[in-house]
Amino acid sequence: MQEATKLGDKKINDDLLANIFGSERRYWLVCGFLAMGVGAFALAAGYMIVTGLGVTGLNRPVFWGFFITNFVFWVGISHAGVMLSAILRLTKAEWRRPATRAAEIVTVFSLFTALMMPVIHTGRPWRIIYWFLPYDFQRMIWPNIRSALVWDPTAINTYLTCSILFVFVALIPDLAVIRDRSTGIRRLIYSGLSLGWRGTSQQWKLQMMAGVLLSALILPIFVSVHSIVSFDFSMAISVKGWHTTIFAPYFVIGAVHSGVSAVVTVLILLRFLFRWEDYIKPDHLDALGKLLAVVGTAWFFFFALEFLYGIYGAEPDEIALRTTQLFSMPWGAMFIAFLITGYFFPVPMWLFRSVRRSMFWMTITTISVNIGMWLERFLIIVPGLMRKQDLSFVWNVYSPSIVEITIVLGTFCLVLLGVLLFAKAFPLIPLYDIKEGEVLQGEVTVGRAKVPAAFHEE
Amino acid sequence: MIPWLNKIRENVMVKKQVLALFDDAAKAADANEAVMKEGVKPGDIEIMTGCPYPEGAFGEHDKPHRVYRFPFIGALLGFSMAMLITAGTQLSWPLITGGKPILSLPPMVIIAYEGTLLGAVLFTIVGVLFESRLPRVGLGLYDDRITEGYIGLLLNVTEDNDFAIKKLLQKHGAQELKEEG
Amino acid sequence: MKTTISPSLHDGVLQGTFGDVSRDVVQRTSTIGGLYKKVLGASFALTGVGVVGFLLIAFTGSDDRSQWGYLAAMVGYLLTTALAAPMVSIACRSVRANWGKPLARVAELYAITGLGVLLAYVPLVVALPALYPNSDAPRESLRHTIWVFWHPHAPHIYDSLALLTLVITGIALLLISSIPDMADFGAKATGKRASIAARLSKSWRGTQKQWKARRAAIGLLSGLYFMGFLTLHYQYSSDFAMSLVPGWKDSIFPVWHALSGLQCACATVMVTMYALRRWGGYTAYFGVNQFWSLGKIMLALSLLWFYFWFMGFFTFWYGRIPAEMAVLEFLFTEQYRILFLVAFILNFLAPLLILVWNKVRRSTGGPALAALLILIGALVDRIRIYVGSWSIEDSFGHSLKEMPPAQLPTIPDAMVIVGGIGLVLMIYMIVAKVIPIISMWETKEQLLYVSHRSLLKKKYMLIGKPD
Repeated sequence: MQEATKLGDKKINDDLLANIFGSERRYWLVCGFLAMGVGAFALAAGYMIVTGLGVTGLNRPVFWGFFITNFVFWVGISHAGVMLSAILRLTKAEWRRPATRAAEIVTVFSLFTALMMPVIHTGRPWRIIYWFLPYDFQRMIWPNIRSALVWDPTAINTYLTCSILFVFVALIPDLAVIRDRSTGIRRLIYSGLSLGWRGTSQQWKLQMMAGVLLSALILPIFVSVHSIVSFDFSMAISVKGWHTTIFAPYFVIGAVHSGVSAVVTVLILLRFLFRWEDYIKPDHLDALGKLLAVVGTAWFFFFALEFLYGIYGAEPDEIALRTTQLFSMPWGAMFIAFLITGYFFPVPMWLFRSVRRSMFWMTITTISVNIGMWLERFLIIVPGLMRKQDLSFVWNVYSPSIVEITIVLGTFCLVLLGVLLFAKAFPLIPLYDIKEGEVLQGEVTVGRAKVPAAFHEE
Repeated sequence: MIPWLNKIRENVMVKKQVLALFDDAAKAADANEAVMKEGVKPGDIEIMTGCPYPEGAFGEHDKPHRVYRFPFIGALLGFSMAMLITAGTQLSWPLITGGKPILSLPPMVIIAYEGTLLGAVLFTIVGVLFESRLPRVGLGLYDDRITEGYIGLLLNVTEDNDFAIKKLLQKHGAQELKEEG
Repeated sequence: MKTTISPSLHDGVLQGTFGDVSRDVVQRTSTIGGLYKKVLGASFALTGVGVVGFLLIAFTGSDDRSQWGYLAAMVGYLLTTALAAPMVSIACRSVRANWGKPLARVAELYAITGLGVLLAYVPLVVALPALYPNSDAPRESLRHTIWVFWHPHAPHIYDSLALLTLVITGIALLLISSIPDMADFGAKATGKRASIAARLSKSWRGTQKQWKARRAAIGLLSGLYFMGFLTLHYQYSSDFAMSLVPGWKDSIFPVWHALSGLQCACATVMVTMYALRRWGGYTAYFGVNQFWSLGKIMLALSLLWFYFWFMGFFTFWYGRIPAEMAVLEFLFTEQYRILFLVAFILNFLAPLLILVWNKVRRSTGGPALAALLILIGALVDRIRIYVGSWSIEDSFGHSLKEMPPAQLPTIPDAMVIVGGIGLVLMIYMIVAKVIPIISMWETKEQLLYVSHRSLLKKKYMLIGKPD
């Protein structure tokens, strides 16, 4: 799998810390462009908060639109970090090494962004305080723990806290490398951040153990987060198409599908920006492509079940909803676009080795997946709400306003900018993981063939 | 001989630390083996590297730790806290919603699940830092080249074996010897 | 004097030459020992008991379809265990897990038992009611089904096709993957069984072209088997259980059913591996590493078992829709409460508490015990689901109107249950004496790619992974 070239510790440090000790112009150009997007996002959000939710396309009964779609989308993207980092670490997949930290960072920034969406969506963000304080102090009426809207932030905050700590613990040895290469104030800062790391055998042993233990602990959180996000919908019995038992795993696997795709897109961007050709190789994309083909197909199986059980029993209101999703415009066109971009274009493409190893095609296919996955969430949320339900007295269509579109586009800039700014201060590829890969790299000779191998502790 | 008296004697005899730097892991492993044969105790040797090597690669001895206890304690605390919060807040003003009991176990389990895992993660990190003796003020006898690929062999030497050990380290290819104390 | 050198395990790594492996496996396959004869005899007897039980139900029972509930449970159980077992070899091969190489055949040999499952399935398809009595009836009042706008006998046709396809694919996979080993067995052993093996592998010469073609065929058939496995679980669990209970609309149930199949696949292979190691003398091939690795997967699947069950249960519980609450009451909290609790303990709690400890996981007995409990739990669970579903008299409409009491097994029901297990065991044991139970070619591959090598001062396992 891995191409058997050894780079050496010094070259690894030089290459992977280059952006921290001096960035190229293209890095700043991309950051500048993204910062403009973030500026537009801030202006639109500020305007909406000052003016009120009337500037959005939200109406009765479509109270959830672009913001909540975007919230679910970013929570989904955040699943990439754990998927790659924890699962691949536990399964000792050698090819994980250059991808783990970037995946974890994508997790952290997309979770931040996801959390921001419902806060903005409330229109009065300061009232979020009632999530953890009693909203009637006199009578001590606390938030209702039987509500999915309480479980949701609980799970996301847990995931965010654990992801940040997971990243930090794994960063300590790399922070020591920056410390040892720095002087002056920078050395002082990194000395503090690296907590006095010296790289003793015992410290490394515990560091490795932390990786495994935290991976094992964060995995159940990862599964719970999107399951709980799905509860926002599946617990609501009044909206047709939402109350279905498969939603939790369907959301989780969909999140992995979109999250891993996003990580591939980001890795290719980083490879281009920081010239990491020696680290992010076609081999890695090949392995990620295979993984994506499997995950994508599993996701499609769950989607098919969700859809088939929608029409199970031919109940008139369910059939009506599915008819809207499929045959009335613009939903039908979106549905077709969702299926093509989410599955039928990328997954068959990944069956070809040449596509999996091509930076260009992997960029196109992974972006395509995320277009599809965004549409998927939109198609779950809006058509369901749009139809008259048992408990609603009015129905209406939904079309997003320019404010909502700006905010949603701005979030993409926000996450990317966050990742790139992080790369200015911290290495986005774990140095010690790459070095460890070189130490453990071996070779088995079978006849005249040399087979890549790795040392494993029994 | 009285064992504890012996131990005190050994501790008193510790004179200084020596750091040997090697540019090759194999040389460092050989040197480690040689100093152990010379009588330096495993507890008096620290191997410092810029990346993790598999356990025992340098012939070093396994040191005990209690990291595994931490997540269990954290999980227990997290679970208890979550159950306390969910039960306490609902009992403070009992209001039935959605036809579910005030103390509904399944929703409580969801929050308790998150609390348990959060506690376990927090305590694991505390445990790992504690057992790694981090944070540490000052690096002691250390060299910046370790993170560039050099292997550091940090030894506690006594007056008696100081000279012999240094000679042995040089013989096994130590690039540089640093001393403290 | 000629001495036979057997392969052996050294620190978890198989030691020996290709010749050692061939000699050892061929010798074990051609020898029929006393214990083998006893177990085979017992499986024959159990099968006989099952046949008698079936005849008693068919000729002395009532017209009521509830009498077939236990047979439906038995077939459901065999789909979950015997027909799921080949998934272990498919999974191990797809991720190129070296530890899985010796046990690949143990797993895929179960594909042949599909012939027995097919036999047991026939009466069920006859007893299964049509989707709707006539085409004039309003759709809303009909049975809920995945075949919404299809023919009233769609389940009968398509479920049978799905089962047949899976069985044929499984047998094809087994035969294609075992051709090199049958050729080896046919060439080195004598007797009738060896000549059958030789005839089945007649064209095999081991050319590079043949190996390449066979590898591609295994890949293709594995993919088909996996898809067939999911499809069959989806169809069987929907048509032979869920759709018989009005108001039970549970999209996660087929996935949970299939997942339970994967859990039981590991458990089936684990128990078989333990028996082969303990009583069959295959200690060199099944070391702690195999139990440990499979045990980890079994632990993960046990956790997922809980996850999938809870997601389904919780959505119903929270929604409080009367039709869904009635299903919960019927299958979980009232009629079949005890069976559910037993299944919950044996499929989730017990394996979790056993396998969570690394020391226990890293043994042969611990994972085998957990596996045995899982297999018992799965049987209890299938009885709960299928017997419960088949006991509903009126399957039409939107909600459960009357809840029949839990149906306890009669003597013929119990005979059918033991007969099903006996039948699978009998077929497996007979075929294992024609097709070597150890995948020799994969074990030899393991010898090529796994070794002990020194890294500085210590020896580690060096594992090669070819593309």
